[in-house]
Amino acid sequence: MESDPELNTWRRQWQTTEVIPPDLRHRVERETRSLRRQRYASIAVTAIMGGGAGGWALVSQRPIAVALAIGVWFFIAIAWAVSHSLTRDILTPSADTTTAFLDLSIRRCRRQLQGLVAQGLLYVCIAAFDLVWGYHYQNEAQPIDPRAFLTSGRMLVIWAALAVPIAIGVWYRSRRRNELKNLLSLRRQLDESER
Amino acid sequence: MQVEGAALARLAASYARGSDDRDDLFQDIAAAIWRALPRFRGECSERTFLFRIAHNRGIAHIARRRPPTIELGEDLDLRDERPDPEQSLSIEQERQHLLDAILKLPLGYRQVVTLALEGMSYAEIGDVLGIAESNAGARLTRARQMLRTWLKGASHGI
Repeated sequence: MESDPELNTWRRQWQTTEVIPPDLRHRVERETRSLRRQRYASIAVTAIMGGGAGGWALVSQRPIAVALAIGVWFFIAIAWAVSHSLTRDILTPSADTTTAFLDLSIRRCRRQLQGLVAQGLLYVCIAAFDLVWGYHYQNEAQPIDPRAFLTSGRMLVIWAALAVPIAIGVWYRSRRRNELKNLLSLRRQLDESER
Repeated sequence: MQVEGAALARLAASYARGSDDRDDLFQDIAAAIWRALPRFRGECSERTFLFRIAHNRGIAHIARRRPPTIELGEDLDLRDERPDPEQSLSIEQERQHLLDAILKLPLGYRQVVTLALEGMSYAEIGDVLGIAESNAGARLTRARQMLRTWLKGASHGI
């Protein structure tokens, strides 16, 4: 059978048929579902926050409500622009091969790490805006010293709450970095075996 | 398992069409091999032992799923519906045609072909499937005739 050219050709084609490892395929499918859920969540947040702030501004017509609506829509626009640029080309693998699935996973991991930095910056900006807005809102009802506002009991709770997403972000970043390291190592092994 | 993993995954692909179905069968094969390994007495090569279990799991899988197969001599439509303006087949398309054609072979022929494509001799094929060496050779010859006809048809887009 060895000197049979037809069978040898088929054998070559057959033995180079790629079967994507189930774990990798499931991982990519899980991430795709997660990306879709994130998109739906973003739409819901836009509708609720943007709609709520806009609606309040329209109904009350108070400058403080208008300022909130402008701020909310400004941050929503930035968040959508960042999200759009980070989710480009990461929804489907370029081919039905192990390399393509692995590359997609690596790309997603890198984008998530970049996204985390963008989210961190946005988080600081939104927190600063909220503090300023919150102070003016409070000050409108009852004049208050900025220092007293920042150290009030309610604000202490808010300060503590602000730390939670930061801690989650740090933990998530280290997890993602480890995953990226493993994926890159797998990619190197794949390259070496193809040589 | 580590050495034959890719070959067993290809074997699973010859029994199951969709990726989920293929993954299920592959996991099933891996589990069956794991359970059967303590019973291995060295009466045949490890490779023969692994492929015998894998084929048995494949048959059990087919029995559960009942995928469509065709009878001998029935015409096959292996046209490639993907855009291909120059009518030339890429390597990937050729592989896909081969897999499609193998999947449509009658079971007895399909088993012989997949084992031959993994580089097994008639004797080894006979060992794995429990058939005579001459029978393995005859099945392979008939299977190859069918594959040749279908693949020729596919490459001409008929």
